[in-house]
Amino acid sequence: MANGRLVEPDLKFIDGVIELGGSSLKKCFQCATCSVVCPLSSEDDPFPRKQMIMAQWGQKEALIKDKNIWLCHQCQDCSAYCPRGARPGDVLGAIRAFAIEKYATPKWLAKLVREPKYLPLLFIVPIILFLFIALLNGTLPPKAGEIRPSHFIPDTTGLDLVFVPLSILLGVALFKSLSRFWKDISAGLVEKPSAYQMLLKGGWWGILFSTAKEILSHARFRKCGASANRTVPHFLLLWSFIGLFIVTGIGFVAEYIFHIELPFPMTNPVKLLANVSAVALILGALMILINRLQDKDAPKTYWDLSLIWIILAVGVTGALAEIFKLVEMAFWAYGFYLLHLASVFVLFLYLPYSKFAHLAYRTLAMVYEKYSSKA
Amino acid sequence: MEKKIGVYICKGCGIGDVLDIDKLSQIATEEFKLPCKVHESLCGEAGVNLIKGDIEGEGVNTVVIAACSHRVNWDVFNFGPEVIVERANIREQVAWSQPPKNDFTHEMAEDYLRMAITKAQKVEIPLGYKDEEEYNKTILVVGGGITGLTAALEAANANYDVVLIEKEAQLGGWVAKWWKTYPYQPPYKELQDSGIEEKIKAVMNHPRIKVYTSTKIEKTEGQPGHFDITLNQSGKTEQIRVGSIILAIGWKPYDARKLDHLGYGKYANVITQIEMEDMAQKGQIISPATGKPAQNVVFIQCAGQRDPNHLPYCSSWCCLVSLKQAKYVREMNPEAKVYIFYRDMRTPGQYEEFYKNAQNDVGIFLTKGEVVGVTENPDKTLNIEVENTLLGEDITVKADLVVLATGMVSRMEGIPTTREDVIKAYGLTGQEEPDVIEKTIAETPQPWEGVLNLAYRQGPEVPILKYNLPDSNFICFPYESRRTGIYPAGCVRQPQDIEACIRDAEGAALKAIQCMEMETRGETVHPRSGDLSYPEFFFQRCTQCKRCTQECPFGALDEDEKGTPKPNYFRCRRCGTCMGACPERIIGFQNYNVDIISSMIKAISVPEDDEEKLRILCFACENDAYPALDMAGLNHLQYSPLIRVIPVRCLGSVNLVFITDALSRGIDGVLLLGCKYGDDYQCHFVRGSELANYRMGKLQETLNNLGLEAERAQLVEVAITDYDKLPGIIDKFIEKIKELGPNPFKGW
Repeated sequence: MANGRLVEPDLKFIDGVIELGGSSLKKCFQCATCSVVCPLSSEDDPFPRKQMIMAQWGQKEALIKDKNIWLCHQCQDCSAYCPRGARPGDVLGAIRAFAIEKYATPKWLAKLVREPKYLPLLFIVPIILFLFIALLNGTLPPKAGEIRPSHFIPDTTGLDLVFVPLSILLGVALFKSLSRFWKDISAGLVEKPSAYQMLLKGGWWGILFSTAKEILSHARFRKCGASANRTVPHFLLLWSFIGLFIVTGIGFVAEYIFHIELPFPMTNPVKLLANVSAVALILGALMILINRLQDKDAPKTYWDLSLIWIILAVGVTGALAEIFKLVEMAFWAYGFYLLHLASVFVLFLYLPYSKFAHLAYRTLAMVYEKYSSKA
Repeated sequence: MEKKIGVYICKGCGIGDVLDIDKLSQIATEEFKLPCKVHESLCGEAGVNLIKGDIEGEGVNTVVIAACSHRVNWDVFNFGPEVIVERANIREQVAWSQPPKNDFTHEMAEDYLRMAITKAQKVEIPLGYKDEEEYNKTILVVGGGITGLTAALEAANANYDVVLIEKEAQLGGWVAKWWKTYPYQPPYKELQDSGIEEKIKAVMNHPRIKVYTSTKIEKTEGQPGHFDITLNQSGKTEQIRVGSIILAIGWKPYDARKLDHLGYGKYANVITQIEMEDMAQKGQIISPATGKPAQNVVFIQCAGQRDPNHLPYCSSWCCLVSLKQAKYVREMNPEAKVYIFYRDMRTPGQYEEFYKNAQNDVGIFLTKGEVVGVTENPDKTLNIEVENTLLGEDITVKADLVVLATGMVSRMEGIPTTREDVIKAYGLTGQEEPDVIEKTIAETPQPWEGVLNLAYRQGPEVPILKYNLPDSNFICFPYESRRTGIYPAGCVRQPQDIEACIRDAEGAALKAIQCMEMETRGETVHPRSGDLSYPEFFFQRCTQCKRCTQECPFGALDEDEKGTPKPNYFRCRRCGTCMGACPERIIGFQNYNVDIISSMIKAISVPEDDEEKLRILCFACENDAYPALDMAGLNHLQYSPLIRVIPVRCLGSVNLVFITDALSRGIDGVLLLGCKYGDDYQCHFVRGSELANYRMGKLQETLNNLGLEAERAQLVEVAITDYDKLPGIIDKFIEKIKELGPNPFKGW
């Protein structure tokens, strides 16, 4: 006689998935059209048909450990072809939200990010913090004359004092989450790839390299049919973040190693890169936002939309601060700079605890897929 | 009636291009010495007026039309009940299927004209069977469930008197026992009341409906219009007469005690859908073992269904019932979880909406899967083990209530319907002496409870075919049975839901009314609806061989003590199976009998010295094979010109004497084209083609005695859709005959 796993559906999980945008979850009647049309699903372990019934049956534990929920890029080809009007893409999105919550640490911080009622708090805390720092530095109000960010928030005793420890703390937290995630997704691996197979894959470096190549080129995104319009804005966003990351890195090196005073003049190629990235960031975020709002069927949840608004806030406040600086309107320039710093602070918090965390989880899932695949 | 025959040949539709019409008309004028007129287009106004003019002016009363098939333009060439019309099919089966201006083609047309004229000379106008005794037009409805109630109301509202009998004390049947039903109208979402109470009230209050409850039928004698029914109402007998019967005896659930592998009978927490309704009626879904409200309810679909060890078929509606009962559970206890394990979720048509609605409930969990075990835990909860689930793994679910979707079984189950079954039911083998059999039956109390208890020679109930469902139960002819005037409807006929039963009841009521109305006009019913001919018996020559009484597919013939057939004309469907069976050739119809067909065979010219010009006779069933031949012509498919086709009412009406006559006249081969026989038969008269095949087996000996090869006569099954295969079938048969060589009897 068979001795199957004792199955007890988690009704709260089902309600949660529905709330987080998977409201069509129960419509699925398991025809598997979705798995067939999905451009990203694999033949050996197809999705999202199975994930749909697992979600209908409230199988939270099994789902959040499933690498396939991350391999999904929410192309919505499945939703477009579903004969029953279910939206597997959105359901998987909701399950991903559960997974991020499950692995998040510390939980209280994750809760602050997840629930809309804490949003004002998320902004007020850094604003007060930076004003307090300015007060301690004696830069409140900033002295008149040339408008420079550091005249308001000094680099070392201001910016870095906040963002360096914040990055370290969040980095450690994210690392902890990801290690647990890796442990869980790889628990089901029956047989580790042999040394020969690893050789064929180019070793860990080979796997990481090919994953990075896929992500940077958006190779999977480009396979999407129904929502092909998401590829370009997402591509813009990713590369703008990379651009800004490079700019920040150069700035850091320039300041602490070469002792060059920041910001760079407008003519500097680094500054040019920063400005191009900023424009790409705003453009990408706006395009995504418009696409989302125009899609009548797409669920409009706080989980999904807040990230885009935050990114947009980062871009817009930064740009406005720069513009007011150029037109020499000190109050507005410093004001928007403060808001910009608060937005960046929130975005930092968003990285491990919001939808933004897909950056880490999806990458890891892709690495795992390459590592565990037989080919 | 003094016949004045006029022959008319049409040149339209390409006939004139293929045939030499002047030469053809000489058959009528010179061979038969009959007036013959040729027209460009007989079915046009001028053509019809030409014939009408001769009928009125010349006194022509028998019209032979050589033109298209008799299956078309029969309304155009209808000149009233006083005028005989015979048709020679020289369009579909000659001009359209043979090469033009060719000797062989021409001879074919000539033979068809000869056969038509010969037939016209022989036929009489059928006047319809009339009986002196008054034809009763009361409808008896057997069964007071949803089908019976609906049928009674429909018939009564059409101004027919109805007698409704129910064996239980209350009307309403199963439906009255249901708590709610799934929805029957848009938007097909929510549970609803069945409305059976109003229906019962309407029946009870209807002035034309007489209701007998706690009543059974002891005996049914007679025939449509003259059924004498002996009722037994709680021991009190009463005799009534009715015209037709609607058999709405419904269904019973499959015996769940046979499903111990699913825990029924073993564990208190395993129940059936029927018991679930009972629980819902009482207002609470509980776990029977503990008496507490059920928190985890499992439905097992196809319990003992689609299973060769139990019911091999799908009862069609259990999926919807389980979805409905899942809603009961969820509505009564929103905390409860419901699991449904199915093999295929079947919710036909608009019921898909109800399925969707139930599926949308977060507490209803569905998966395909195979339940492999139900075991009990010490706390009386059950573990249900399911394999091959859509979750991609074998799972176990813990439940405190398991509901089995057992199937629907026709009430005909376990009731002997034929004479053979009856003998077996009495514990006899049938090999005993007839006296012993009669004595045993007379002296033993009937070991089963019958329904109609028909006093018919062929058996006491409507014959069944597969799965205990009444024979003739297929898509084309719902409500028909093999007992004329008796119309099964509702779940006795096929597993159905309330809505389908209501539709069924309406249809069966219409059929019952139609039967009575047509028979009072002397016409027969389906499938020769409207036919006014009826069988005549020349009893002086009857040898009491009983073939006709045994073979009649509709049990129309009873026997007297000596074994002479006693025809019940109102039970007869005019298929002519008796005519085909009779070795004495004493049964025939006014326009279809042994003499007519034998004369038509004789009318075929058989060249004696030309080995090329073989003659092949073909008897083609009018229902499927003949239309298929016409369709072959319509598609201009070419086949051998050596064949001569005679349409027959059914292959069952083909008497072996036709074949021996034909062969002894020098015809080289005889091909019989009829419907598929066997369990999945397509014969419109149920047994005709099967009997023809049986008789063909007997023919071999006769042919051997004549020194002829048995292969010269062959039966081939064809469906109406096989028109494209027909030229191949015909040509292959003729090739075989060519190999055998010409009939040695030629010229004798």
